[in-house]
Amino acid sequence: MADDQNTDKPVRAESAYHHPLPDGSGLLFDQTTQTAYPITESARLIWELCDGEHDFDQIVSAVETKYDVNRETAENDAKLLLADLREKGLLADRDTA
Amino acid sequence: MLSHAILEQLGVFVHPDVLTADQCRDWRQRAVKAESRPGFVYKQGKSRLDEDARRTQEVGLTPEDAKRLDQQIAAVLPALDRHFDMALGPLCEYRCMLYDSGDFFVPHYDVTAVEGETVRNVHKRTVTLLIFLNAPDDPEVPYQGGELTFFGLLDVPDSDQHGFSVEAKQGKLVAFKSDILHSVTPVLSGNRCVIVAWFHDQSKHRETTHGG
Repeated sequence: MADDQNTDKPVRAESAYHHPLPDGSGLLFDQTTQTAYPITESARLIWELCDGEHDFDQIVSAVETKYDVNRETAENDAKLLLADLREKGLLADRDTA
Repeated sequence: MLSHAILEQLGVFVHPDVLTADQCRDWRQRAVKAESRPGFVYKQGKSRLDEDARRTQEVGLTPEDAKRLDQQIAAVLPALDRHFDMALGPLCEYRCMLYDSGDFFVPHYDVTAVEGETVRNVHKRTVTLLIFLNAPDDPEVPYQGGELTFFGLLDVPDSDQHGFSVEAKQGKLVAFKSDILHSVTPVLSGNRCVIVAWFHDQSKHRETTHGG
């Protein structure tokens, strides 16, 4: 991952909302497309850290600590999820973040 | 469409196959042969025909038929009690709903806040139970459209504007709190047939003993 991505602080899109579910997972709802995306409990943690305050390294550390996984696994999971969220338009564009 | 597991966490109970294909066929054939009447809507304590809001035909079930249905779905009732975290008691107001091509039901609630002048059961409803007797992919009697759609399930802004459909499958049971906003989108072709019944608030049964 490039340095700029490591220091990137992802921000949730304004049209995206999170609805927590009782089992710890959740649904991300995009008001623009009116689409709901189920997310796992660990994805929910990453989503909650997409607040413009946490960079990629901090997000990975949080996943590593909470789920007791090695750095590489946490990094891969976070990278894939953030790319997916960005592709779905659930994260604000970097330019506007 | 949301998975059953997610729908259940949003308050909508789903059992994929409470009735067999033969049972569904039998109920459906009985319904289409029986005498039906247009479905009414309930507004300001009165029931009336309003084809801008609802277009469907209803067939009431006889007490014997209701008893038969009770037996067919008995195995699911404990799971319903657990899902809704209450002893639901007996089902009431059994009926088959027949949606022909063009029929629909706009977003609505199944329960009214107070007992109406001509609507003596609707305010007692707590949980709505629905069973699909056929489905769009039905090999014998398919249809298009007619999607059961729920609104207001998510805690997000303008939630009542966002609908989530349940995939119809023959024999599938869906149960939900009667105060959840829901609709049936227009049937585009074919005939949609469902059984609907309601669990009533037992305390209101004790208060008012008259029928509806």
